[in-house]
Amino acid sequence: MLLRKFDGYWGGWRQAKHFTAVNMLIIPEASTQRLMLEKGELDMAMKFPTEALPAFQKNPDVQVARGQGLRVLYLRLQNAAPPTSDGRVRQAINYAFDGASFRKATEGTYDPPTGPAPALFLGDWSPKFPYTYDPAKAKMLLQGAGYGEGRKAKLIADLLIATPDQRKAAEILQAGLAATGAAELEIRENEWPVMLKYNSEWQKTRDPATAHHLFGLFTPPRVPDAYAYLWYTYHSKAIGAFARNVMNYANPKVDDLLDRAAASTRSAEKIAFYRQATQIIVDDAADLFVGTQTKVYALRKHIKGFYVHPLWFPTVTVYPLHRE
Amino acid sequence: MLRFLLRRTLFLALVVLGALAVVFAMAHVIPSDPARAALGQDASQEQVDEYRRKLGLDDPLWWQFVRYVGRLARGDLGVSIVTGNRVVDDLRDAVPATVELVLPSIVVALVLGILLGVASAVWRGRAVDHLSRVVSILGMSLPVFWFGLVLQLVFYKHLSWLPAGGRLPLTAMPPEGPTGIYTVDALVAGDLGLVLEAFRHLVLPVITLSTVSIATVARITRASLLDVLGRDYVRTARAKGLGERATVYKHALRNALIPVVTIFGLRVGIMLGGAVLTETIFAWPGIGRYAFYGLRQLDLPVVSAFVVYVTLAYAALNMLVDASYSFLDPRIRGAAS
Repeated sequence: MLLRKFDGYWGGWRQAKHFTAVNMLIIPEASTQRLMLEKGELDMAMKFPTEALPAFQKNPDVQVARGQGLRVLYLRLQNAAPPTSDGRVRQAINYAFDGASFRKATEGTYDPPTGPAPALFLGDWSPKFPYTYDPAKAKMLLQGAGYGEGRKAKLIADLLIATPDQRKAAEILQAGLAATGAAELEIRENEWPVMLKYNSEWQKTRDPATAHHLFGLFTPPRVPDAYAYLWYTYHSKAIGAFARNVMNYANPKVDDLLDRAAASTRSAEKIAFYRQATQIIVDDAADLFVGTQTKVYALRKHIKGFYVHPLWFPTVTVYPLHRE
Repeated sequence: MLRFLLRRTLFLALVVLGALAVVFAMAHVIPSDPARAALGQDASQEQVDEYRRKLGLDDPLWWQFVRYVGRLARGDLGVSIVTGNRVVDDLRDAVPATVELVLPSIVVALVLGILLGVASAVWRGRAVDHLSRVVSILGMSLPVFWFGLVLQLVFYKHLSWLPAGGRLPLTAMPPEGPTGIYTVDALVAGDLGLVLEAFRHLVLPVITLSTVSIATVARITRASLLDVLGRDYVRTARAKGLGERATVYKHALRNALIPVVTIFGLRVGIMLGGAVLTETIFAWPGIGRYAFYGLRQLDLPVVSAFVVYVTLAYAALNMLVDASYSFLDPRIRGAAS
């Protein structure tokens, strides 16, 4: 795709340094993209696997730009079928997840989890988040729920195919659960339309024998409000009606708080309701909150004027870019 | 000949119909929800149902199939469920890119493969033969993906001789032209600089794509030629004093080429339909990559269009291969007439 300068742009073209055309190339193979950036054929790489980051950081001709991202990665937990319908099992899953290892494996491109919505949308506030990696505590909780060496909790994770970060999170959880000796996780990968169909079909039967217990999902800010993260995902009215509360979380208190937040026109009051709802969701261990994705771009050193925009998709404001 | 062509065309229509029926059936055996995938998770069930109605996905399968075949007969390949683009428009961009990649690969594979095979058979047991066999085995065993990346490392990163990907440099404008094949369109426009650039961008993908075929053709040519060189009529040709070159090229090679042509026809079909890996490594926007993304989203119009394309390509190649038999072997020509 080729973007060309529009002479009538209201901002004007005062600087001679403005780019007059920007060519966007889809390069699916990560190593090709990396080679082309390192050789200077590309000025910027917008989407690349995190494994390429150390090489970019060491390269004196390349700069890495990081910024606040607003996309939250969850491994959503099935609230309507055992074993994850038991709150103790959901908490155990949260304690069995080694978040530090995940952040290391993804080269620091995720911020530690602060619950279902980024702090930015809650007035720069995070809930009390008790879940740190603690396999002993996870084991204790699983034992409390009736699972142990003789009767392991058998879990199935349904992930979107070719999504390495989801895969890494699930594998790290798999190891954490194995360390408890009381649970085991099977990881499956599927195409997106297949996952959606499975979810809508499962809602009709809710058969525990065919349940998937974890569902990999990114949630972006479709509207600039905590509503985007909370209502569709955690309100009981969203079960079945939309495809986001697919794991059937339902808590009347949360419903009430989310409805009141949605109805409120006062910002402070709205945020207060969202905060209360968020704390309940975290305490319920409704999901495994993996982290908030940091936005990372790699640019040639001579490209100036770039800033990271926190929007969902990789976004580049071309106008201020120039070469030095 | 006319009867032969008519029969083959009818057979081709049946094959396309059968392939489409299989794709339709499979798309409904795999439980998936492309309408929901296209609209996103926050779309309400009513919106998804409406979209499904709009696309006709709620109609009985047989009716969807009949409607699709009817549209296809009018040259309408439908609209991508995911992108909303007309599939025929997408193909208009993707097919020329694949053709531009595959045609030179065919020529390279055929010429080098036959030369290597002939050299190997004629100088059997000598250094050339050993070298040819090593090259063939390597060519067949090297994973395409790995080989492409190694070529990029050597010729792009270290030597800086050739580009790593794309059809043209990022700063170059694609030529306006009737074919969509950049080398041809640039040539028609008289822009020799652009022809050279398009050619440079072809070199590494063509080497990557043709390597397996070179190896296959070389192996088959060698085996077939060795078999033919031991036949009585070759011995007779030698006995009557014909030179070795004339014996090999005029008498033996032509007969030895029949199995080569058969295998090569299949290889070309694979190249035309399945250059996915090469297109992915070299950021080549061809049909393989297009079909791959369509499959990832189970986008039925895209997948069906790809199946039609591959079936037609295979059928056309088979016809060409059959026709070439009668050219290569007069006995077949005689039997056909």
